[in-house]
Amino acid sequence: MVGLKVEEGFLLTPEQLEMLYVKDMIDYKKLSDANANGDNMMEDEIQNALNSIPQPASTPLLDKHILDKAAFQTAIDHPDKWAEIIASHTDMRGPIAYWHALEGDIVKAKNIEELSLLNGKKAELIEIVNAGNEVEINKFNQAFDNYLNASQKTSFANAAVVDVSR
Amino acid sequence: MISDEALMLRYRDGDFAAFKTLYAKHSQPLYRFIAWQSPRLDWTEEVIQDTWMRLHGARDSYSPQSSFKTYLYQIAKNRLTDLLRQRQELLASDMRQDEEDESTFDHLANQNQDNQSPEQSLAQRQQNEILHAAIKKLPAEQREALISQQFSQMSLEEIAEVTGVSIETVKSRLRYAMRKLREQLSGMREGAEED
Repeated sequence: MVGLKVEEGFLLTPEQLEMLYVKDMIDYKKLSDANANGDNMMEDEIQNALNSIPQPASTPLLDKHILDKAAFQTAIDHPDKWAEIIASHTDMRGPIAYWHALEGDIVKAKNIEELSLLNGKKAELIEIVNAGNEVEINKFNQAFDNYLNASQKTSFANAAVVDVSR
Repeated sequence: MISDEALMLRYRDGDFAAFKTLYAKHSQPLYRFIAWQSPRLDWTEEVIQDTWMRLHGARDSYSPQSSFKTYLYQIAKNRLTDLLRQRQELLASDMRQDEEDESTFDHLANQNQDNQSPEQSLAQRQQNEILHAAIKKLPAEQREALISQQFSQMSLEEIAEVTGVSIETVKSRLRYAMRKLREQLSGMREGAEED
């Protein structure tokens, strides 16, 4: 006999079932399996579509810019770590080393004019890094390489100043 | 495996490698979180840069008692809110222009179509466009909940913490958002059948 087992021990005919449905005595949702399955299929479809939807993504340039700024800032805030940061983030070795060379020169500044000049150079350096100015940053990196390769021990700060003079 | 919170503490103490690890893990989900809510690509990039720099600036006040992820997303959400508030006029003018210009997301709709027939490719593009538009049209709170859960892999608890509402409210927003998306997709399917 075709029917629906509503409770243990009861088996209803389609006619009895119809009667109960009309009288709102049974939960329609339990009977409309087809509709329910259709809904689930739709949910799956949306989930699949959301999983495969093309996503906006950060660019390598933006990533590099953020990492450069963070490396520079961390090296400024932690003078004891700057050599370590240069070693792990070679793209910023020039600006970081130049910053610390300026810091060293500031300690030795003889007068207020000299101090003001050095602070001006620091502010300019921050601007260059914050703007992600690749050309200028590369000049600092090149100056640092030259310094490392130079046989005569001129100060790195002086080498960088010459290279970035505009 | 080192937790995000432990990495953040290391970064606070000058360990730049810890920052790189955190960035590698969170940069793309965070970018998606902002990009879906920001009306302009250049504003997205601005908010993202500011967020990571503010994380650096605020690292001394970071407490490991709170989740790193919600801390990061709260900074980003606040920065986006500030920026939208500051640039309301520009935004109104942009919206008028957008009616004529291509959407920022249009180029994305063409992606993920490798190895597809022209018909499949067209259908995929249409589905992407409809979904992009449908997500963009959701009320801001529902969109934020949906994006956080689906595209930034945030838990209900994390979404509740970042948005400052109860978990039940988050669930309700997600339910409404999914219902609206279902209606949009269903409409698209019916339209395709009629064609």
